[in-house]
Amino acid sequence: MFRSIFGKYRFLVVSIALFLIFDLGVLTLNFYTSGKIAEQTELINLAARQSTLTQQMSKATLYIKAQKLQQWVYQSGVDELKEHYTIFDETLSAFTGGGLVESVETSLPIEINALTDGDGKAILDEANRLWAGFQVAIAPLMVDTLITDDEIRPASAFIAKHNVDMFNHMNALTTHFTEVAERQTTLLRRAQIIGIGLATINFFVILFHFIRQLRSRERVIQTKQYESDQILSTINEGVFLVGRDLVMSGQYSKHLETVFATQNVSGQRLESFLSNYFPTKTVDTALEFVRLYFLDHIDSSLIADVNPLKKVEANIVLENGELQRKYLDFSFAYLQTDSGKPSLLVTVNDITAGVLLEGKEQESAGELEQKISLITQTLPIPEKELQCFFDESLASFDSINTLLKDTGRVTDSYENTLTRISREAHKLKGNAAALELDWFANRMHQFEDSLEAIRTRSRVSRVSGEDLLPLTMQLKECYDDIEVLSELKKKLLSYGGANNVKPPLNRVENVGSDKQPIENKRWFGLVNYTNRVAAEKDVVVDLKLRGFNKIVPAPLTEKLYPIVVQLVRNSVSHGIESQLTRSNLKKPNHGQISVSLSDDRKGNYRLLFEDDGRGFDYEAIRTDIVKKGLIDEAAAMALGKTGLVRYAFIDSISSHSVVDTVSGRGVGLPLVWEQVRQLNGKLKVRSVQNEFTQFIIDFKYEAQSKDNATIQKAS
Amino acid sequence: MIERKHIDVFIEGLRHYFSHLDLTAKDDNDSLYIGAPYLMETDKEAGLDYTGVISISGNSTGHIFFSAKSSLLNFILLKYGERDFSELFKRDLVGEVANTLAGNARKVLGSEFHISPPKVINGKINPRNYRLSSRCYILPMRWNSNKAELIISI
Amino acid sequence: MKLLIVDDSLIIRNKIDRCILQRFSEVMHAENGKQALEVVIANKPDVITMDLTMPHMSGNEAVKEIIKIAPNTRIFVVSALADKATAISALTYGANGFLCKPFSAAELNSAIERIINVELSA
Repeated sequence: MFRSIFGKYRFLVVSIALFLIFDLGVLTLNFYTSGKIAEQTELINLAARQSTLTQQMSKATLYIKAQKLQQWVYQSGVDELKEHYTIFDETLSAFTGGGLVESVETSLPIEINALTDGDGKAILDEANRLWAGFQVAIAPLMVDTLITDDEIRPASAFIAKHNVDMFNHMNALTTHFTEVAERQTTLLRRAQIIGIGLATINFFVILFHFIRQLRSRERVIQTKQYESDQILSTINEGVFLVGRDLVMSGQYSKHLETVFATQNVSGQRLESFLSNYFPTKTVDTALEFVRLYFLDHIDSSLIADVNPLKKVEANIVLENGELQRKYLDFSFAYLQTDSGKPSLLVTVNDITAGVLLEGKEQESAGELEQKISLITQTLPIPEKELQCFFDESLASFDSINTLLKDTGRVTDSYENTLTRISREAHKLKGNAAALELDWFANRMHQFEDSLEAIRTRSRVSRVSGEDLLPLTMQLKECYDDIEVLSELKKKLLSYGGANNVKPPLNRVENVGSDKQPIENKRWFGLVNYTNRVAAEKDVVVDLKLRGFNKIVPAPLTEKLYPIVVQLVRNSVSHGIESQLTRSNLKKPNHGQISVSLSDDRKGNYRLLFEDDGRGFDYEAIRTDIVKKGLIDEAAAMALGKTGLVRYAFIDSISSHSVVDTVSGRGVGLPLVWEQVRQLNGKLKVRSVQNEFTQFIIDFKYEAQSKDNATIQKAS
Repeated sequence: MIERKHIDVFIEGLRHYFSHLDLTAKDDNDSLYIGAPYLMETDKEAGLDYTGVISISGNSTGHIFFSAKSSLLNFILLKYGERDFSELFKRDLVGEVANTLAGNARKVLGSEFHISPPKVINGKINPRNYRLSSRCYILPMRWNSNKAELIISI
Repeated sequence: MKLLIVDDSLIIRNKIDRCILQRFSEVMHAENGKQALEVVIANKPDVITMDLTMPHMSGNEAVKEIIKIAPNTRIFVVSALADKATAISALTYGANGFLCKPFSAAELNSAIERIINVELSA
């Protein structure tokens, strides 16, 4: 750490150290020179005092001489001379060899050093030589005895003669000291100028260096900011940072605003931000999860797979106030930032499109419409007829359910089960269509679609039980629908008059009688049904009913009705030609279908179904059974018409290549055959190509039929 | 309202559970066979020898039943390394399987799919003792030829 | 090292007991959170496997209490509750890892290894 700081700021540290060194150098020099100058000043003062003392000693000597000549008292002159002499002598010897002298300013003793420089020494040598003469001349005057004339005269003469020389020496010394002092002052000034100059230069170097560094750092930051702004504004993901305090940072990607349709991101608490879009429970779990990343006891690698914000549903209010549902995918990465603070990088992806593609999002809206049409289509149907339909439907559902249940017992019976289920479904579809219950017919059609899908798959790979789940689920919905309707019907009845919702039907051409027994209403509905089916196939058909003017027992209707429905569908789909074809064939424009029921009053019944369509297309059947692999080509070629017609009553033969709600699954005729078997009846088929087709079903109606029926063919 | 995902998650759960018992078996998990799901007939008794019941509350309400033949439980106990096939162990096991299947379902159905600790029934389930949804789903299965059923009533 | 197995199912306790390798010198059992607490106080296990849905005291409550008494114990939750929220709340309460039932011996052992190694490398 220390090394890194020193490394990073080495220039600064060195610069400041230099600055301090320069300053300290100047300060030290200043301090030293100031001391020297003070010393020098003292020396100047002392030298100046020596000059004065020279004069004063001369004056005292002259005074002593004058007093002595006049015989007057001269003692004060002697005292004065003694004092001046002593001070001069002390000072001069201190100059010469160093020692204590009395300060001029403070009168305190101060220590001075001997003079060493050449000029000063030369002056001192001169002065000392002269002073030696002074000492000899003045010595007799310093003795405490009476001064004689012989003593005063030479002394006075010597001083008078050399006084000026000594004075000059001392002045020269003063000048010398003054010059030294000036030199030192000049040196000090120069040192100060140089020191301050260097410090100033250093200061500017530091200043410039840092300004430059600040600028380049700012540029780097700006570049970085620009780059991250660029990245954040262009990446196609919502990205933001969250700190330990769970507050969203100011840096986030532009796309985040698009994802959440808001600009209010920066500085938001994560909790309040998420609360705008997710239920409280989701937010709570999410926050708990995010906090895990900042816990010490958990390794972040252990928690990624418990991320609760994978494929979450968000409700987002758009700018125009519209509420939009989105599916979002959050991912988290733990970051240790430069500042040492941990934060979490959160990435948000909008995966709505993908989820909608794979999901069944839009189903629910259609379902509601379906439920409404379910009710509106059901209401007009007469109560008894509807009840009959309900009972039959529930019975069929039960048998489908039993079939599903029993598949578990024999593993490889799926094909068989699916076939039997498809017959039940087809029967239900026909019944529903005949009652104009389109919603239910559609439901059964979807059911058949699911069945078909499973059968297709079973040809490629092994089908398992769970593959049948869509059937079970649809079956449950069918049960539920019928039960809801049944309940609704009961309620309406209890309010009275559900039967009167729809005016009585009066569209049946009931040949042979004007009477239409109410019990046979279901049969009369067939005309309407036929017209509708025909319209879908773009043909026109007249349906004539015979023998329905007397009551057909309800259990018989239950058996026969699905047969007729299937035969009508079969005729309209495969038999009756378009109007153009018919006119070319010189047939009436309207196709003719007639259904007649008769009995010998002994329980022997005959149902005759006839159309004037194109008749059986034997070659189409031949091609189809070969293609389906039911028989090889040679055997198919050997088959006569009877043999070929038999195949038409076997499952999975349809001469239509397109499947629609009316036909094309190849289930219709096998279903007819199944029903005939249940009646223990005989089925005859007569057909002439381009002329007609007849289905004649003979049966006894009393007891339950046995499984013993045969198909006959007569041409 | 029960949806496809509800059933799928339980089918997936069954597969997952039994695949953990089958580590020694072949990869294709041949020993588990899940039959065609069907609907429970109203007011008829259902279930096999032992049944673990989990009550569901929260976003969905109802029950999950895992019902098994005694032989299936013996087999699982054997796989677990137990040598005790007493009723105590079978009851413990059938409850634990029900609990595991219901608990695993939360992966898809979320934490608001609250599950109770398991209760255990010996013998058939009497539908009158539970408020079963009308025609609930039964997922039949066989594991090494031993029968069990998962009944979903939510 | 000592291991404590907490689960209301005897079969699951036995299974865990059989699955673990010889890493543990002592293995103890507890049927619910309350019993687990008593064992923790008395025996100070190093590692605990903890079920969540249990009578008397749930796994999460037990984890909270155990962390107070023995903060250095490594706990990992072994539960059938496979949703993320449950795992998160268990980790928040102080558990160190999460393993979903059903599990294989290999999964259990690798979970134990991971939890112990995270501790050593931390």
